[in-house]
Amino acid sequence: MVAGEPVPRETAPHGAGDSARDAPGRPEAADQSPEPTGPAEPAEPVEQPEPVEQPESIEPPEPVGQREPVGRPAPDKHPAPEEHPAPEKPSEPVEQPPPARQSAPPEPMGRAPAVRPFLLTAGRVSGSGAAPPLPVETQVVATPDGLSALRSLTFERRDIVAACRRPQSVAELAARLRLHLNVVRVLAEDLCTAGQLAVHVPDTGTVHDISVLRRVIDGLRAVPDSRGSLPDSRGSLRDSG
Amino acid sequence: MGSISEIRPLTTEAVITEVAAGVDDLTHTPAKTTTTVAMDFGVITIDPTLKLYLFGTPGQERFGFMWDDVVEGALGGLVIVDTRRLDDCYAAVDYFEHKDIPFAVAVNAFDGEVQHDLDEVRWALDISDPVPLIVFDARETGSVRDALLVVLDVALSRAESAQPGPIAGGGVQRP
Repeated sequence: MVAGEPVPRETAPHGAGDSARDAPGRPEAADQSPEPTGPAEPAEPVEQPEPVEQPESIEPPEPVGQREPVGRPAPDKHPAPEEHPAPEKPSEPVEQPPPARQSAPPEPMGRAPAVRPFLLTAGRVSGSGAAPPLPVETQVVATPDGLSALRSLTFERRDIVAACRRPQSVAELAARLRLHLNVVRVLAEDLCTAGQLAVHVPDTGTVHDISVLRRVIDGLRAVPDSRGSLPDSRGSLRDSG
Repeated sequence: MGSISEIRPLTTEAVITEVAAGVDDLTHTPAKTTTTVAMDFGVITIDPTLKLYLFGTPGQERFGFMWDDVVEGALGGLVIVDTRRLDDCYAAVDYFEHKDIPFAVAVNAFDGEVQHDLDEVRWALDISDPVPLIVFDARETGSVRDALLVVLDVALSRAESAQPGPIAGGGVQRP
C-alpha cells in the first residue's frame, strides 16, 4: 500500500449509496458526504457537561422527527417493521420497585433511535479487532486535548468527550448518553486513539486484593437503610418485615 | 438496584454482536439482525478513590451472552431468585458455579412473602452448600446492602484462603 491519505473510516457513509438511490431528486445527499450519523443537531448548548440528565419531558423537540424527512431511514436491509417500537424491556429480576415510587420513573428507553447503532460506528463492533472489548467498568476521562478539540467534534463523539470531564465508566456513559454500550466502546476506543480520551482499563487483580475488598465491605456497611440504621449483625438477614 | 444506588438507576442497551449471534435464536425472525437488551447499573461511592459499580442483567439463559461482560473483573455476583419462576434461575446459578466466581443466591420476598422453603429452593436450583442462600427485599436499601455484604464476605474469605499469590487468576480451586 502506497502511503497516502489514510482513509477516514469514520466518515465513509455507510449506506449512502442506498439513500442516494432512494432519493434521486436530491443528489446533494450523496455529494456532500455527510457524517453517516448525521442527525440534525438538537438545539443544545455545547458545553453542557451532562447532556442527558434531564427527564424525557424536557427533551429537545423531536430530534427523531427531524431526522426522518432527510431520507436517511434505516438502510434497505432492515425494512423490519419492528424497528420503530421501543425495544421492550426484557423481564428483569425484580429490581423495579413497584407502585410506591413517585409517579412513573421516566422510561429510559422510550425513544427508538432513527439512526441504527452500527451506523454510528461505521459498522464496526467492539472486540472485533485484536483487542478484547473494553470491560463495562473501564474508566474513561477526557484529555486536555480532547476538551480543546471539543468544538471540532461532532454528535456522539462530542457528547462523549464532554461527558467525560469527570471520569466515569463506559457503562455509565452509555446510559447517560442513551447510547448502546457497544457503540460507546467503539467510539471510546477511537477517541482514545485520537488522544482525546484517556481509557483506564481496570486492573483485574483488585478482585483478589483483600484490602480493596475490606474497603468495599466497610464502605457498604456505612450505607444506612431506609430507616437510617446500620447493619447490626449477620443474623438480621431474614426478612425483617 | 434502585434502592441502593446513589444515582438514578440507569439503563443501557447491549447490542448483539457477531459473538452473540449464535445465542439469539434468529430463525423465527430472519429480518432481524440486532437485538437490544437492557442492562441496569448503579453506583455506590465507597470513598473518594473507590466506587462500587452494580450491574444487573436479565437472568434467563438466553441473555447469557451478557453475563461474561459484567462478570469479568467483578468482585462477585448475586443471583436474584423469583420463586415463581425458579426454572429461569437455574442457568445463572450454574453459570456462577462453573465460572468459580464468588456469589450468593437471594430469594426476593415479593410483598414480604416467600413462597418456598429455602431448603426446597436450594435443592431445586442445586445450589451447593457453601453458597449462601438468603431472603431479601429488593426494595429495601438495608436488605440489598446486607445481600451485597454476603457476597463480599464470600469474596473476602475466598481471597483470604488464596492468600499467597494475589493474582490467583482464573484457576479453579474448589474446596
